Amino acid sequence: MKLTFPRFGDSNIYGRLLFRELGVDFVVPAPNSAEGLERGAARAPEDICLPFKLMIDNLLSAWEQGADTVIMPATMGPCRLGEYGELLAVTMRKQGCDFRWILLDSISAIGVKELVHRLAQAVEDSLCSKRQIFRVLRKTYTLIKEFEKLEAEVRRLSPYDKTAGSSKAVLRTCRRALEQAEELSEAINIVRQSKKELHSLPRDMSKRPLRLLVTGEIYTQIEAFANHYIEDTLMDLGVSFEKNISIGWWVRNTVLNPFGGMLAEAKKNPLMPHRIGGYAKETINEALRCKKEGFDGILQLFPVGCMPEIVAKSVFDGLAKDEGLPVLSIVYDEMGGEAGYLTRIEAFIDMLERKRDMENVLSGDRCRIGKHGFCCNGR
Amino acid sequence: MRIGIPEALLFRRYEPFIRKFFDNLEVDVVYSGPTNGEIMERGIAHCVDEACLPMKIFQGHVVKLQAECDKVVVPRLMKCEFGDSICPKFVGLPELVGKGRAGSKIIFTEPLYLNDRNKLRKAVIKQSKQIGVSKAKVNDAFRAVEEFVRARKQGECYGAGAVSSCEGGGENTGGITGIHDGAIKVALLGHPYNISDSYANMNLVSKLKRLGICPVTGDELTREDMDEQMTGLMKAPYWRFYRENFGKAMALLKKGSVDGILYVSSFCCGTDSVTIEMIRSRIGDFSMLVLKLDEHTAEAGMDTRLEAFAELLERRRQKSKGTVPFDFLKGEKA
Repeated sequence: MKLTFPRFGDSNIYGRLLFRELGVDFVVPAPNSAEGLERGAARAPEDICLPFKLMIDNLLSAWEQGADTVIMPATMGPCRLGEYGELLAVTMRKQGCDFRWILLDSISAIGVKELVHRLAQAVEDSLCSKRQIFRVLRKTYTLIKEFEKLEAEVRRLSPYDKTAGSSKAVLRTCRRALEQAEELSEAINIVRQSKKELHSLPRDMSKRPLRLLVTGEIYTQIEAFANHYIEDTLMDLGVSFEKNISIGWWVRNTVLNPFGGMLAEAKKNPLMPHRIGGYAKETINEALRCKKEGFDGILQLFPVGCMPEIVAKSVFDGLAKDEGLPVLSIVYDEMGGEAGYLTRIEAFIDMLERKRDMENVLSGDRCRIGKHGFCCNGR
Repeated sequence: MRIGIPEALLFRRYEPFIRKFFDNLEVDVVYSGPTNGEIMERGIAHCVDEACLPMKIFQGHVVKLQAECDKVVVPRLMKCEFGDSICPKFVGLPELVGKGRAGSKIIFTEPLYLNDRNKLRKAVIKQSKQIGVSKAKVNDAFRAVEEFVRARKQGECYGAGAVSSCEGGGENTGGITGIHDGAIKVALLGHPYNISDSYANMNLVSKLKRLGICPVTGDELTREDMDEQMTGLMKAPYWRFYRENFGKAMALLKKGSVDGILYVSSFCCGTDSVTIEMIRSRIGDFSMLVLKLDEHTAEAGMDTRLEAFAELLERRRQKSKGTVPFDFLKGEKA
């Protein structure tokens, strides 16, 4: 058995180390690329969402490398992700790739016993004892947590860099080192080392960068290729931002906490009182928090046709009109052109900066002359 | 108090029950009437750009009603009769239409579980205050509807209205007049709101009949017939209309009672993107036409496609009988 899994975000790093440590034979699909997307889109139904098209290419690439079993999550009804498994299987069979499928469904749909059974299938080749397996899983989770913490720091701190781009470089070096790491403990050390390095960088804390919140559909947020490397773009534009939806967040809410769904449903949210599938409610939750915590604006990312996020966007439209909350919704499709996205993001950031300068003037901060030459002498 | 009920989305499917419920309540009810150009335009103007056509039409109905009524019913349908869900947009319908504004006129936003009697009853009774009717009265009306449901057979309950409503009343598929017995039969599949909204689908049913095609909606199939077709799938599908359309297609195909499949979908429909592909993967080279509806109202493209499809079916049928109408087709393989 040769295991593989679709790529999303840094799942290749985590998955590689995890299965390596478990002694399971595995294959990591080639990174997402424009050619890959083209290949995936040509084989997928036309109206399906972007993640599906990328996954087709991932699995084709894994098949070429000799994989024969796919493990993938299949929860999240009534959004499309839950039906991915079946359609992926059909599409792959059409391409002559007859995979064995291990679909990790939620406990409420298949029961604990079946879930454990399916998980056991994934590690059937492993020589590790149950205890060892759990230890490895825990270590993987630690790695995920640590690395995501590092990422969050970089996102927050990068605009304060004295030499622009130095924080970003630390993250990049760290990621590259992780891809080469031999085992989990080593990986965790690499991350800790990088964190120290990040903190020792010279910073100018007197800068006042914009604070943005990035939210939206989970795959688009996690997989950098699907969002046209928006994080790099934002860092280059000198914006401090937060992005809370991540693999670790998903693990915490879905795997580690079986009541995660219930808790999310119980959370009060006047704008979207019920979970509608996918993570639309979480998107709105984040937005409300953004209002409270004084972020300057929101970026909502989703692939074209994403059903739950369309509803969220509708709520954002209302929010933007009624409360003046600046939201930029970016809808991604197969188009590879960067310029259109970049222009919109730049314009949004310019608009926010100007808006903030204006507010400073109005609130009596008279001596400040805005970056854009906004002068307040007359008032 | 005036209550508006939009005649869009699944209204046709549950029409008898909705009408019965509000008749029993004896409140002032306004129905928005069938879709027309103005409704659609208003919907497109007010709805979020990325939404699909049926949602925009629904929004149009709501906008129309908001002007004339005190409250507008926008149900939050969580689960259908058999515990299947529909699509996230149905669950988030009040948010999609109301844009999350608290002060809007939208009512019936409590989650409705049609598969759970008690939950449904509670959710409906909770609305009594907003409608301005006593709880007891709402309860009575709810019970009356329940009696009504029990008295009906499954086939009459849902879906049956789809085709006849396009024709402006009349009989169901079985009794279509003006079509001889040997007519080409086509399975008319898709979400019921696409099939029953004759404005959105540009009078599809009458067009088919004009071409001498008899549409079969498979309403006589029971839930069990459809569930039977789900065997062999890795995971039981959770969308109501995935199960329904996939089940119907497979069942009708097995019976051999149709010559082709006509699937009516709307542009960017999330669930249909999966359903259509799943049907395609199972039918081999059986004829299937997928029509996508969007905001365009030009009919020529639709007509051409339907005519071509009709011709294709006719030829295939003759070829299978051995009488090829044109010589050059003889060489073509089946």
